[in-house]
Amino acid sequence: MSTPSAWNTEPLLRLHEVSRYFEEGRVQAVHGLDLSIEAGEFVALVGRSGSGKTTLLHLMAGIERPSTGRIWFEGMEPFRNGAWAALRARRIGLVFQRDNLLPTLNAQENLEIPMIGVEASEKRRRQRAIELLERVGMVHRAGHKPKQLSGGERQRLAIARSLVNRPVLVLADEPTGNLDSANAQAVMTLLRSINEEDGVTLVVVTHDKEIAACARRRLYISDGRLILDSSDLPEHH
Amino acid sequence: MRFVTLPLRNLSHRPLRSLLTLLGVAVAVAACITFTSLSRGFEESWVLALEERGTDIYVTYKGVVDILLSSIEEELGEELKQAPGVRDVTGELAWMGSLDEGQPILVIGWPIGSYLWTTLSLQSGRLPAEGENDRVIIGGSLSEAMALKAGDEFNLRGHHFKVSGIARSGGVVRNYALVLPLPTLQKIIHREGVVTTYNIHLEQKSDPAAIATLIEQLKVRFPDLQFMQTSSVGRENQTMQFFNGIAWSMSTLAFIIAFVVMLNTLFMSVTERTREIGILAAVGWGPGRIFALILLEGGILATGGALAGLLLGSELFRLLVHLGGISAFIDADVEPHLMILVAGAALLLGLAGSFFPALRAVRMWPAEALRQE
Ligand SMILES: Nc1ncnc2c1ncn2[C@@H]1O[C@H](COP(=O)(O)OP(=O)(O)O)[C@@H](O)[C@H]1O
Ligand SMILES: [Mg+2]
Repeated sequence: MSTPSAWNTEPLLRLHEVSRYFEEGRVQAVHGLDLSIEAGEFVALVGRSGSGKTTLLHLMAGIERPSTGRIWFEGMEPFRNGAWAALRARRIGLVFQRDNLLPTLNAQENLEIPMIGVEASEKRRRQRAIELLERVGMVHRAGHKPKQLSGGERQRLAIARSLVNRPVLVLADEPTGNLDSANAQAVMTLLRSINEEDGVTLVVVTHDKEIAACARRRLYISDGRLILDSSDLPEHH
Repeated sequence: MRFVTLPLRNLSHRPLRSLLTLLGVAVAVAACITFTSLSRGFEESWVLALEERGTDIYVTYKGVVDILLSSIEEELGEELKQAPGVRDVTGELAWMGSLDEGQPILVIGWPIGSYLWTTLSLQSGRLPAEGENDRVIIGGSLSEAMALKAGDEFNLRGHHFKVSGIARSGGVVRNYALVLPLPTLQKIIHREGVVTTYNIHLEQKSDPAAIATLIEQLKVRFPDLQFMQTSSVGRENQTMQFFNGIAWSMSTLAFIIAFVVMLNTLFMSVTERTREIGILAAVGWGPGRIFALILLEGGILATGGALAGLLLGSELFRLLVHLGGISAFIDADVEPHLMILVAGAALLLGLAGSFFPALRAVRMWPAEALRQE
């Protein structure tokens, strides 16, 4: 289905005048947003608390439905919940700030969950899970339940899970928000490697200046609007 | 890990709740099995006994709920015999009594010379001859219970009897019945001149439609009597209708309760796990797979409950049959097709009970689910 990128003029993700209102329009979380993200980018969404970053990220992942406006992923416009779910299963990985994992499953099983329905072979699902546990340095934690893991380990596991189906886009919402600086550093290193080594497009919500500095492109959000896009700044050209 | 691992984990994560729900289904299944087997058991052993002795039409007094209380004048037999196509008619007096040890027995009186005697096959002894009014035939199981053999003598209700023969094992009724000449039984229980039922034996095996026509004619001539084809005795008889009605309403009630328990459990588990369901959606599980997950949880509970209920039900039924002393009349084994039917109903209930919770789980957009605590 996907066209080779050389021939593909469509951005990976495109939002056109996207708005999301809550409480019958009294709360405007995202307001008339126009945005394109190209394959391979590392984008930071920056803004104060309550500015609409999470809502925007959810819209990009199709787990939230826009009140108005249109969203394209790889040139296609998924409308229904199910169509978005199919994209998240194979093309889009998601990482949240906290409580990413299923408490009744151990680390390895949590990694296998997204592969159910995607990878038919149980053995290959297991192999892939172990591969990713190795990648995030947690093979020795394979049999542990989320409760038995540290905050940093849980976030690394969540990132590993976002990668199991080899997505083209990973969306992370304040992945270091609940971590101390050492753990935050490890998580950011991991995220950078995904972008730089695996070529996965990365969008990270953060209000941490250091993390934002890692990204090649920064989008500043305020009151649900895009107020500044670092790629528009002269030094970028 | 497989797909089924997740519902199993979810259920074992709350073991007490899962177990109680499973028990709810099990009790419904067990109740259904027990009540239905009881009513069906009576019905079937009765129909079987009638068929064994070649009765085509069974006659009782109209409107009696308890067949043993039916009273028909003995003279009517001669009139019934005049009906077209009738080969033979035999009046029968039945009485339920108990031995000194409390074992209930069915005591049956037949006129000497009636064709009914010839339907008994004996394992020892012989049939009573004309005038041998103190001779009885004893069912195989009963003879063992009473430790009697052909030629032995015993007392019943102050009357002296001699065992003429032992019937070969057959239906449960025959196994535990005691058959004696009609006048003797009439005297013992003070019902001279009456019988409880008539057995009509037709000239040839007629088709049910022809029998139905004959029954219509008989009904007109004998408005006080009720005529039933042997195969439909269970359906037409008021005692059986009463039993079946109770069995049906008890089972329905049990199933409704189990359904509510199932709904409650799954709604609770879906509500508590809203965030987890949101996570599943976030990692790419579509509405169909999430729906299937909840349905499977209900299905597992229902299947477990059905299996436990089948076991519980058949043991309970066996126990009731023995404790209640009704082993004389019904077979203590639960019919396999009833088990399948009830287990199927339980499974359906499980799926129905998880349908609405599952619907709730997939109705939300994932972000909404993730916002829940
Ligand atoms: N489901 C919701 N119902 C009502 N208001 C909401 C909802 N989700 C977000 N909001 C509001 O929308 C605004 C943006 O929220 P959010 O996207 O979470 O911001 P951020 O992630 O930048 O902190 C906030 O004012 C928030 O209170
Ligand atoms: Mg946020």
